[in-house]
Amino acid sequence: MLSCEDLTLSVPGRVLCRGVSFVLEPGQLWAVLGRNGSGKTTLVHALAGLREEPGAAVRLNGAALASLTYRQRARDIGVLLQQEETEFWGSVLEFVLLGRYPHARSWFGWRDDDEASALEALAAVELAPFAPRRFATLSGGERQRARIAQVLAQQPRLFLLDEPLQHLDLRHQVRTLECFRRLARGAARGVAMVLHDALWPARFCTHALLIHDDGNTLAGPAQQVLTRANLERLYGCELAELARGEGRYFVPNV
Amino acid sequence: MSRPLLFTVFSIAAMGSLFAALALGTFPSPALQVLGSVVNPVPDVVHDVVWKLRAPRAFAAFACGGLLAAAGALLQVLLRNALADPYILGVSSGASLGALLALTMGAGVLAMNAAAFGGAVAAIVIVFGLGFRSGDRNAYRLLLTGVVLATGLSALVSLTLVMAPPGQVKGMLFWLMGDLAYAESPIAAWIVLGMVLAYGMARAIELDLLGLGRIKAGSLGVGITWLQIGVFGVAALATVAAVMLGGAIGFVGLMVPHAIRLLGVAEHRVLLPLAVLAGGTFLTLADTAARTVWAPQQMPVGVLTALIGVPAMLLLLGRRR
Repeated sequence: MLSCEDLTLSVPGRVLCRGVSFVLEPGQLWAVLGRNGSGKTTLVHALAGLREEPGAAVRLNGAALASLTYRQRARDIGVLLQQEETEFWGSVLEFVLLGRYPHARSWFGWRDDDEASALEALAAVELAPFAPRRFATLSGGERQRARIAQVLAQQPRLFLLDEPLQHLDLRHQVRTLECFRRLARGAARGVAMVLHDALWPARFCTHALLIHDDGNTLAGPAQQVLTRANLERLYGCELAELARGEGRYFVPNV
Repeated sequence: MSRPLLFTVFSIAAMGSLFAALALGTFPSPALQVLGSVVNPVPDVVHDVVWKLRAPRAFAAFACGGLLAAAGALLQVLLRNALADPYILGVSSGASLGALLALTMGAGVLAMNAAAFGGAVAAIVIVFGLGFRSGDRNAYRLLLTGVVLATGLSALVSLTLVMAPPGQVKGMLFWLMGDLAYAESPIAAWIVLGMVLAYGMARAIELDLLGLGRIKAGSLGVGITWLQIGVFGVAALATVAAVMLGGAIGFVGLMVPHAIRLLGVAEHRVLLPLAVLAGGTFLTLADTAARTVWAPQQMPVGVLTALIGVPAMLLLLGRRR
């Protein structure tokens, strides 16, 4: 689905990561891990086609991302940004409906199926009763859930999520992860998510991409990549591994 | 209020304001006679007063108000700043400077208009060129460039005022405060208004998406650079058309879009037409008051828009709490 071959990303004065290669297939759930400032967000932007430098290094179903029209790309790739500087005066439902833009065919108003997917997405993040509320009145965690609903309503084949769990309470962290795992397994969507702690990836993700501070990266199945030694080297912090039922968790060993 | 009801109320208000502008004035013209002359035009004195004197000014006021409100709504979303108004791009300062320089040199109306137009376009080109260079299309940069340029031009306007012969200062002040007394035929302004509204409606959803920020809107499939250039161009066009009609009339472009938003309308598909109707209605009423309340003295309409608008806006803001 999404392939990335020998991608190098840099910001002025620094190479963030070099030689990033991996293939994201439908049904897979990738975790992108790294320290603060290691280039996780830049990578998400590059994979989403929002940066110019990848050129043909990133391909969607074989076609270079840069060769697709904006709308085609938006129908296939949904992005949840880490920081969305939202200046939105309308209701929560109107906010979520904007996610339907790549599918909109009419200039005058949304169609019924747009509204249906928006309401379904709101229900998925437990915000259905908030639909008529003004977006500006939501709390931080509720806003994050509304943003997730917006990208769900977009119904892309590939989700790129930058810190999807930020501001969420534990219950909604678990619900969000379960929701995307369901989409990956049941609806054959591809998911890649930037996470900033080591607690969840080994429990929910099928694959992982580690970005080290020196710019080297390690990508592969979670079982091989998410080991205690790898993660300790990544974070520079001692970890303890907890095995419980079907999952493994890593917590700081302090 | 539901959307159809809002449209009905605002349309009726718009017609009412235009009718009031046709019926009110120093020359006695009973409402029934005015109505008769609207429905069934028979050449007589009332007909001439209504259609030759009052109608051009009334329609100029309406177009001017509509253009300012539309430009304000567009710039507020383009610059992602609630305090943006049509003059933030330096258009009115550029036009004022051009007009005042022409006045000091003793130019006629035509030359003054040409100078005002030249000043406005020069300001737009400078702001666009400096604030919107390729590679860095940051809304704040555009905003700051406009504010800085407007400040500089205002200083030059003040300088021109101080240096000007005392006899000309009053005429200049009227130009600066906004006045529709010298409005030319409003047909061109109505055509521009139609174009601006058509563009805004065609791009309504993209405008909503701009509120999410450049990157998010881009990820949802909006061709963001061309949209920003288009919105900038259309807002600048609307502002120039409005300034050429009535000078720098304040308040309408800043506050009318907010008043509509306070009524619970945020989607541009609904917001833009309502703002045009409300801006036109408001300025038509204000201009009618400006030429009738103190008749035969005339007030600059720019002063009246603030005098009427500020209490109305404070009331709306207070009610919301």
